[in-house]
Amino acid sequence: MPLVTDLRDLPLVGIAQGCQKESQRYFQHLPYDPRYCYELFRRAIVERNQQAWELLYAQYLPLIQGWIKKYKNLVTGNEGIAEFVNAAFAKFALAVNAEKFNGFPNLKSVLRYLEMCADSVMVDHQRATNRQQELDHEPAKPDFVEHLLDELTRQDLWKRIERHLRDDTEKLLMFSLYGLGMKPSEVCQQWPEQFPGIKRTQQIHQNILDRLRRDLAIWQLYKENQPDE
Amino acid sequence: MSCLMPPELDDGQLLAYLTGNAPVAVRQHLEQCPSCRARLETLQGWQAWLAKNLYRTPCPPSLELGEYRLEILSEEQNAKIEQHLAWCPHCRSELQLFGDDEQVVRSNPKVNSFQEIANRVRIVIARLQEDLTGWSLESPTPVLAGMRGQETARSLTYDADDFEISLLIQPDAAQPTQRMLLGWLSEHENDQATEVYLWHGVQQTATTRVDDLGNFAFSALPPGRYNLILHSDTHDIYINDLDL
Repeated sequence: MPLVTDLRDLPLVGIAQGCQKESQRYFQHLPYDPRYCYELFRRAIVERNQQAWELLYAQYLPLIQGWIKKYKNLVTGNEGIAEFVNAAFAKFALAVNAEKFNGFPNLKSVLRYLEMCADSVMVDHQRATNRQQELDHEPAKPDFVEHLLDELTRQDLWKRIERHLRDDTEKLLMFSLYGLGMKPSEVCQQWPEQFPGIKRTQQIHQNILDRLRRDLAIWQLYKENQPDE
Repeated sequence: MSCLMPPELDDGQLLAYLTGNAPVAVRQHLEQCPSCRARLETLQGWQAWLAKNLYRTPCPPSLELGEYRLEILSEEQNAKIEQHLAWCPHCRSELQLFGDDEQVVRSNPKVNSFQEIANRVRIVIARLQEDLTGWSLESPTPVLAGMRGQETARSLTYDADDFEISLLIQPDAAQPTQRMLLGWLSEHENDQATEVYLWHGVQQTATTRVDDLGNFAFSALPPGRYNLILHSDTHDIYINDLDL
């Protein structure tokens, strides 16, 4: 019975070949068969087939490069693009497991997610750049591992701080002052209902800081991060 | 060290000074009192450390924001993101960066149903009908050719739906350690372009086209196991695990 009705019966290279041909048809605006590329994704993600990953990478590299190049103001040179592309693939690989993949009904939904991962990498880069500009005035480098570790430590700190915040008003104040870098007067202007006066706002701020300083774990973390005297 | 101008300034006054809201008396006190100035510096360092570590830290990870945009989060996660978006102008602006639905399916309305596609392309795995090993072009008798010690050729015939594919594998005359693969596709129609792809492992190593008479050829192929794919608009024919 040589006629194939289920692409799972085809060898991997046949799937890769089909994905390549059908993608060409897609970009030529011809009717195309999305099943090959979907099956290639399935083998890479659900079956964790390393060769399928390599073929997938080769197949979608140009597409992801195109998505990254949209961000002209954030990307400089081909080297930068390559790092962003790798980061997008890595993000996709980490975020999509077999269970999540089974929730994607078709190729379109998989590609939407992949494109979202590329966008997400660029958002991370923009956040890091803005952060550097806001705090250190140094240009950000696309070091994703360092960024991730740094991010995890800071997330832990915020979670710890959140434990000391008694209600949404306090949370909004801390987020506005430190998360967004606003001044107390700007907070009052932005959220007049929650913060009708500067004096009251300062009082809430001071109470929170007092509570935080009594948290030994936070205080210790702060002390550890101070330059030696 | 104690305050030179008691009572010492409290944290609220120091905080007011740091945010530019302190009255003149507090400013004057700080100018003259090293003790309160030292406490001010500690508070300033503490605030700067918080600012450095908390800037945008409470914001959801970008991936979560993207998943919110794709509407694949749970209701609970959605509610959390929406509350954050109400507070955060940065995240509201970042949300716009995530591509809209139509970018992936860029103006391609011709996505057919699976049934239409299945009717368009038949996928066939060719079945080996005949394997003649050991005959040479010089001697049509396989056994004798082998006895002369010549590098022999191998002839394979495959059946694939309405097609028959004949393959001849032989040493490449120009590079004796390499192989040459000659093929013939039956029922080949001139107006039907058929491309032939040769894969070695996961590398596509060579491609060619079937000519008007149904022939195709590859040369200088390293020995090994290959997959051969014949692709046309109506058929995909796979010959798997071809040993050259």
